[in-house]
Amino acid sequence: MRQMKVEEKEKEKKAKFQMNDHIDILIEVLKRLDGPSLGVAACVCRLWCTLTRSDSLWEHLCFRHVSSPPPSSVRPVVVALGGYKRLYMVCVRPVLSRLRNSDSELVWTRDEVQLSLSLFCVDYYERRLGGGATSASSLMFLCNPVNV
Amino acid sequence: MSNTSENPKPSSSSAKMTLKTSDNELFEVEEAVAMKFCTVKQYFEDEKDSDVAARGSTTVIPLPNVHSAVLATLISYGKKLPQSNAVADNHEEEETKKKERKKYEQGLLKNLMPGELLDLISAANYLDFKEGLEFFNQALADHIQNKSVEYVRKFFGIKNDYEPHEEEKYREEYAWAFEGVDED
Repeated sequence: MRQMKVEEKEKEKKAKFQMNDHIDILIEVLKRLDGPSLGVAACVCRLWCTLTRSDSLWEHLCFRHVSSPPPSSVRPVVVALGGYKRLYMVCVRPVLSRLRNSDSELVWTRDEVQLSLSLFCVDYYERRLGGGATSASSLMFLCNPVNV
Repeated sequence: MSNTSENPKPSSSSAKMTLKTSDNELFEVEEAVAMKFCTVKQYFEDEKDSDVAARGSTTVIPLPNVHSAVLATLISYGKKLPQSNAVADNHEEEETKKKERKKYEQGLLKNLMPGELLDLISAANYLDFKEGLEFFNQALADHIQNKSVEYVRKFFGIKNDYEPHEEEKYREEYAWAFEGVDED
């Protein structure tokens, strides 16, 4: 491959593969990033920002590590409660970052999925009824890391 | 497992096809592997419709958008995939093959320059090589994981089209994402 360097540089000048011209591929790559990398991606340029606003990317991220993804009937509920990006930020990310240090590959079962969806409902209603996660009676502490 | 040729060719037990790259190199590839490139498959099937005698003869399929170095890698990867016409393996054989493939994949990625990834993806996209695209897209995602905004822009040659205050706004919105990012 090394002797190709000169030829490759020539090729580069002619027709470099422009990722932004291949949105379908770009989406496939973005789908495979973890949460923080998606956040970084949003800051790259306007196109990437627009793409990262797509809730389906965050939906994929939320349930990527789940052994059996929740049924599609869940989707309209999550969207009504605030969308997958919020679900990730409020319920999934805190737990994942806490578990990041474990050696085994992280796989969620149905129970963990149910729990995070329940907490998401709690989050929604607390916001609606006023107070939210900062209020003293909020249940959202359940998302926080626990020092045992 | 189908042995479809009425006149079996004495030279090889499996049909081969010839692919011609942008730099005029010829690659002889087993049909089973070449058929994983859906663009080639389509071309082949179109040829077959127009001229029955062409099947099995030296039809050269031109790939003007693919360089030989890139095609070599894609063919090599395609050979490692489970072949659709192969005899079904028992569970043990399947596991062994899986491990071999994993080892091969790791070796492949280790020797790959990041820039070459884009060429491979571009070619796999042109050839409509689904398994290859899946693999190299994952490799690319793994590569830019945890990297900084500047690195990503430079890597893809993307121009920053944000106004400064816009970029500031988004960086603030995603401040949580920037913890633990690799420095360039």
